[in-house]
Amino acid sequence: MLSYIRHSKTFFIVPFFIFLIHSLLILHYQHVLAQQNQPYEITIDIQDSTQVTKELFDPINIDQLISKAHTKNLSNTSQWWALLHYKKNLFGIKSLVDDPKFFLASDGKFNPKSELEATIRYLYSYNEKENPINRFMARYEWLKKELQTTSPYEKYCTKYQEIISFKDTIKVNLVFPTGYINSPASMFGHTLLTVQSQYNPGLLSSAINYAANTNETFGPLFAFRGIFGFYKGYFSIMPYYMKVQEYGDLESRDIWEYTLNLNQDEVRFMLFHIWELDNVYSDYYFFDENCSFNLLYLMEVTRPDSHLADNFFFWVIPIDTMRKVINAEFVERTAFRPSRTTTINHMVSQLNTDQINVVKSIANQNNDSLTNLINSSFTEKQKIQILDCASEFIQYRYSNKEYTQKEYQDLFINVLKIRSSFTQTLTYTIPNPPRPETGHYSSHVRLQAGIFDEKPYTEVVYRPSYHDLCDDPSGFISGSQIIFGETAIRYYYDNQNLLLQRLELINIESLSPINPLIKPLSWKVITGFDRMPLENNNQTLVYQLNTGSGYTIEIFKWLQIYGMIEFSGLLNNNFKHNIEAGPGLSAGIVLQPFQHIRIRSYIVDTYYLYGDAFNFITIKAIFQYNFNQRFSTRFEVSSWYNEQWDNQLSGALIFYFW
Amino acid sequence: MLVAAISIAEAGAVRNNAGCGVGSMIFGDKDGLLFQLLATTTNGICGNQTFGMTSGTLGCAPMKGIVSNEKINLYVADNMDNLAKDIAKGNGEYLETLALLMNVPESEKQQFFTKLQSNFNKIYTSSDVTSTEVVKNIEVVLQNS
Repeated sequence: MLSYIRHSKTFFIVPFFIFLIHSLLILHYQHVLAQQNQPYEITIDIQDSTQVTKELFDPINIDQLISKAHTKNLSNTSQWWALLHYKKNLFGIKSLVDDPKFFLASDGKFNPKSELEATIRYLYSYNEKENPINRFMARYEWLKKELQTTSPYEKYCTKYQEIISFKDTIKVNLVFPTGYINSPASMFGHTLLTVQSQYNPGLLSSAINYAANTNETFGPLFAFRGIFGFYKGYFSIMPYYMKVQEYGDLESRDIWEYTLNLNQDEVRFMLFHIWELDNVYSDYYFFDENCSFNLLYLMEVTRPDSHLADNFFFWVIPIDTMRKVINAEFVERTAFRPSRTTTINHMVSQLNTDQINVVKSIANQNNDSLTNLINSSFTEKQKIQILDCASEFIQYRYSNKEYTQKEYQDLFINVLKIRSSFTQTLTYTIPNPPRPETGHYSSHVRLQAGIFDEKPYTEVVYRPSYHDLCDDPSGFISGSQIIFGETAIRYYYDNQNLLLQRLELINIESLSPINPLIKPLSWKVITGFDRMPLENNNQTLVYQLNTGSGYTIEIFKWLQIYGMIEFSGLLNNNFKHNIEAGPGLSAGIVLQPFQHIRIRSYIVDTYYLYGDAFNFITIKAIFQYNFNQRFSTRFEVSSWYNEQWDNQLSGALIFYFW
Repeated sequence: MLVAAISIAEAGAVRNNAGCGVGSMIFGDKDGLLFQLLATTTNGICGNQTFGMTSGTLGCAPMKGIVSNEKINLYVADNMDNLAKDIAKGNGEYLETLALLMNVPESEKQQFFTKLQSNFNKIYTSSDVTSTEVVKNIEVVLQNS
């Protein structure tokens, strides 16, 4: 998508975006990849239908079929509702599919019963124009069983016959590329399906992806339209290796593959339904009716009583849909596909300093480095490790545009040529991280009690999403903090004041540690309303923007330190020019000495040069004990300096849910 | 040896040149769901893929004259870099997938990998070698066994 969103962190500061913060929640970046042509016209398959004659329909009594359907109350079954994507809301029943060609009855979008009647009429009566089964295979397959009546069209529907007669076992996988923190659009990850048989396993399987159809490249407009459903979402299909390249290689996202335990009848039914949704659009909403949500229907139709698509409100985060599918016992096996960065990090961890220096020298295109390597005293295994790491690293750097194509081609092939002269094979076993669904739940409520400058208070915090650096990191992108819409209401006992303490619209920090080869920038963007102790013993509600970038160093696996250069701005009408702004410095430490314990401490020193001009220091230490996916407890000590010190001490219970 | 796992020649022949890009890959092309779902392909192949082309065949013009090893051509074109890396290493998923596409029996796989690895220089003749040349070179290398 949008190079704008993907490559620019500064877009956060665009005020429009701050207003539209929620758009980021589920915004996905592959919209640009979605279709650019007009959807196809429905092709009329004359060849199929001309073989069907009117006489074949003589034995079929449509009215009888319809009354049988009503007797069995088919229009109220969960199967029919799943097939038509019906949902009940305050105003009645409505299908989430928006394309008129998905419905046969004029009120089909709102009326399951009339749509069922129209479907039976369509499937079982003579129609010289098209083969109806070709259009509604899953509906037919189900009605055939329920009504115990075969349509004369069945024999002549080649697509239907093709699927029925395919003998090899077909497997379906639910694929979860983890989040990509450097793109707001894909921070929460993404989900897609792959379909495979013995002819096209693994990389060759077909990826089924749901995405909005847009060419929009202007971020704010894209976000606006995405939130309010101005885009049409379609399913598309492509070789899975394309997706692996895109997510795993280019965006460095680890990919999880969950093989579903569908039996062959269920798989076929799913294929029928996918075929029904071919070129059928639903309005795309980043928030809720997004890629992950729409995939749920493909699974739900196979087991309608699973009700996978029910009970989502306001937004749908990909991992929540994954959990739902897993809890409904759809999954039989899980596999991990490490990204290129994960692979390089693993390889680097196996190398000694001398080897790393050779890798660097090769990647820096030093002419003699390869010849020197051949003649060096490294063992064969060490040489292989160097070359394998170098080829990955060169690919990584090329995708970061650090070489021209020509430079890359020459370097890459030279490394591989030498590598091919070593016949010893080396396999790299990259340990699987904890599975994403084992992480804590996506929303949380925090009950906090504390003392601010000797004034006791109680605070309730609601965080709609998602994860901070003190939460248990298993299952999340390591070193990531992604918070949207966190709201804190505080009650002071002494003056019985109830206050909005904080409304954090966006709070994102990415602390990914550097290693000798890969040196990602650490960065943060925090914006929202907050109370700051700017006056004596009193906190002032300001609108703040705090950004920073720097580097993180991993001292041990369990201990990272970081430093950043910052820029901050504050808005409040009590300020001299309503605004305070200036640079700052920060440093911090994140550690996990034991499995359940996370500790973070940092200091931020900001010099507000514009406006009243003052120095403001924040020092914080947070200790969190994470019991499980549902509970944790947190203790916090904070001090602020602005001509004098203000202190706060608090303890909290955290309950994760969704 | 270079026979695609399943024959897709006829399917390839009837696909209209609907244009490129993901757009035309959205099921709109009604030439067989199974063809699309179970026999991965894109809507055209092109033989001018070199190292470092990340766009894949999605942006390429459909090639005239479908050959029987279209799937292999397509796969090699789309996975130029990763496949070359696996051939040089003598193992890996991209190489396994090539063996599958070329119908290499399980018992001969190791031999196949070794053969490609030891002939790397004959397969990847230059830094701007195209995927079509790579497929041809592989064919030659295997025939000379």
